[in-house]
Amino acid sequence: MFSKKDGRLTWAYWIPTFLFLSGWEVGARLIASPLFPPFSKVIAEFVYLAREGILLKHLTLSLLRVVGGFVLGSLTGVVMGIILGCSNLAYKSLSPLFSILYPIPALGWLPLLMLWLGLSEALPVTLIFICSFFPLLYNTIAGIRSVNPKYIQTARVLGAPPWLILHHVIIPLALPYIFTGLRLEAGMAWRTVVAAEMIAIPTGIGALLINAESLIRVDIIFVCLFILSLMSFGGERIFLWLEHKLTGAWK
Amino acid sequence: MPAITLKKISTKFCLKEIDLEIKEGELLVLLGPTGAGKTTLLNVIAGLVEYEGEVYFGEEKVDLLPPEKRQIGYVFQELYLFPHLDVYHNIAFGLKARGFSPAEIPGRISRVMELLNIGHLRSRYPRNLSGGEKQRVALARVLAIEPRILLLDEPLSNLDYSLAKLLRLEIKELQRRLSLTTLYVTHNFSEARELADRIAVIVEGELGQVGAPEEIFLRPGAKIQGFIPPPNLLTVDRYEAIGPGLARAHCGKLVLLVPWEGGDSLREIAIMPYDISLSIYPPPAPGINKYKGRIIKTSPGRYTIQCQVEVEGHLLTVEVPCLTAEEQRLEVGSPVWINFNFRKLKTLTGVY
Repeated sequence: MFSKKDGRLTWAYWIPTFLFLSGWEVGARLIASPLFPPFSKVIAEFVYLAREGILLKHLTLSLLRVVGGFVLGSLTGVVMGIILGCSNLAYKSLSPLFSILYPIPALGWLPLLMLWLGLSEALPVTLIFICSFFPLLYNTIAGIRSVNPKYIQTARVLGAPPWLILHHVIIPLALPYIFTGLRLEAGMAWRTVVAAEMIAIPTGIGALLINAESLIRVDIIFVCLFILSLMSFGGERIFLWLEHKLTGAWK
Repeated sequence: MPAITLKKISTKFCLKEIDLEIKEGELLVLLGPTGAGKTTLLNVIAGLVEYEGEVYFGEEKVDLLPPEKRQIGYVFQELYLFPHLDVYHNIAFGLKARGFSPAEIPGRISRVMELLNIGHLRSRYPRNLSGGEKQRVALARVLAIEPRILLLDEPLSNLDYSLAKLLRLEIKELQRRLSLTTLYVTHNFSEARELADRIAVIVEGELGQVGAPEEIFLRPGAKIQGFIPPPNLLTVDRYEAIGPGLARAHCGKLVLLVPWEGGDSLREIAIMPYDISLSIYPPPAPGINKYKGRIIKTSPGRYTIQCQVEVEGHLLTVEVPCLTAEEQRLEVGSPVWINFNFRKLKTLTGVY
C-alpha cells in the first residue's frame, strides 16, 4: 500500500481513490436519495452484515460452489487438454464435439440444468464446471502445442522416455498458458455463480444481491458488489502468486 | 572396427547414398555449405529423421533403435537448454532419464561441472547465462551421460570470434582426453582445419571428399572445388633457413619468408585465396611478403569476388569481400598490392 520509491512514499497513488470516495460521500449526502446511499452507510451495513454472520453464511456457500466447480472443471480441462495436445488422434476425434459445445455461454445451460438437476447445489457447481472446463481445455492445448519440438527432441536424445518428457518438459513449459486460463477463469467463476444464484438459488451472494434489489437496499447491493470484486481479485492474485512461484525463476 | 558405419544413407529431400566410416576416438568434421545436408546426416545418426540405408555403431545395427536408446550425445546448434531447469537440473535430466541412481547423480554432475569449469553456475537458469556459459552447460549435459558418440552441430556459430576460438581449443582438448568419437558440423574452413582429424565434405547432399585437412584444402577434388577453392601453389626453386622456425623461399621472382621447422626438402608453398590481402593502397613497411601486381580477371560471387592477380610472373587467385572491392573500385587492370599472410603460408615437402 505504501512503499518507498526513490525515497518518496507512493501514497500519492491513493489520492484519486480518496477523491472518488470523498466525492461519493459528499454527493450522496447532497442528493439524499435511498437509491444512492453515502459510502459511510455502505461501510456501516457491511459491518452489520458481517457482525450478524449473514455475510459469512452467504459468502461461504458461494465460495464452496465456486471452488468445487472451478477445481473440477479446470482439472478436467487441463487433463483433457494434455491428452488432446499430445495426441493428434484424440484432437481430431474430440475437437469437433468440443467446438460445438464451447460457444454456448455457461448461463445458456441454466434452463436445461434446472430441469435435470433441480435447484440443488449440483446446479451452480455444474455451471461453474462448464465455464471453467473449456477455457482451461483450450489454453492447455495451446500451451502443449507451444512447446518447441526441439526441446522434445533434445529430451529424447538424452534418453528420456515419453512419460518423462511429458512430466518434466512439456507440462512445465505449458504452465504459463495454463495459468493464464486459471487467472481468467477465477473471475469468470464468480460471475457465473452470482448469476446462477440471482436466478435460481436462494442462497449465496447472488441471492443476497437480488433480495437487496427487491427491498431497494442499495447499500446492501454495494456491499455485495464489493465482496465480489474482492473475491475475483483475490482469486486472480492467488494464481498470479502461484504462477510466479512455479515459473518466475525462468520465464 | 569403425565406431560408426553409414551405408548408402539417403533421405527424402536431402542426402544421396552416403557411405562413410568414422573411426573410434576420431574427431570427424562434416564441412559443407548451408543446406548441404550436414545436420541431416547428424539427425540420421541420432535417429531423429527417417532415412534409407544402414547405420552401425561398431557391429551393432541401430536403424530400429529410437533416439533415446542410441546412447549418443547431441549438442544442437541452438543448444536447447531447458529454460525451466537450472544448470544443475539441466545436467541431471539426462542422468535421470537413463536411470542412474539418485545416489550417483550428484557425483557425476560435480565431476562434469569441474571438467568444464561451470561449478559456480549450478543454480543459474539458462536465461541468466552468457553465450559461452550456455555452450559449456550444453556440453556438460551430454558428457554427463557418457555417450558413446558425440554429435556437435555448429556449436560455436553464435559466439564471437575470440570466445569461439577459446572454446574450440577446449572442445579439441576434451575430445582428445576422453577419446570420444565425435562428429562436428561446420561451414567454417578455419574451424574445420583447427579441429579435424579428418574432414568429410558434403555438397548438395553428396559426400564430395573425405581426408585429412591437408589433403582437403591443398588438393580439393573437382566435386568440392565449388565450395573449397583450390589453394595457390608456388613451386620453390631454392630456399634457405634464416633462423629458428623461419626460411626464405625463392619462387621465381617471388621471395617469401615462410614458417619452416626444417626436415624434408621444401618443394611447394600453398596459400588459400582468402589468406592473401589485396588493396590499391601500399601496405605499411616493412615490405616483407608484400608485392605489387595487376588484376587480370574478376569473378563476382555472392559475398566475395575472386580476383586473378598477376604478381612477378605468377597468376594468383585472391578472394576479396564485395564491400572492399566496391570501396576500392577494383576492376580488371587495377594495380594492387598484395600481402601474403605469413602464418597462413603452408610449406609442402612432398607430393599429395
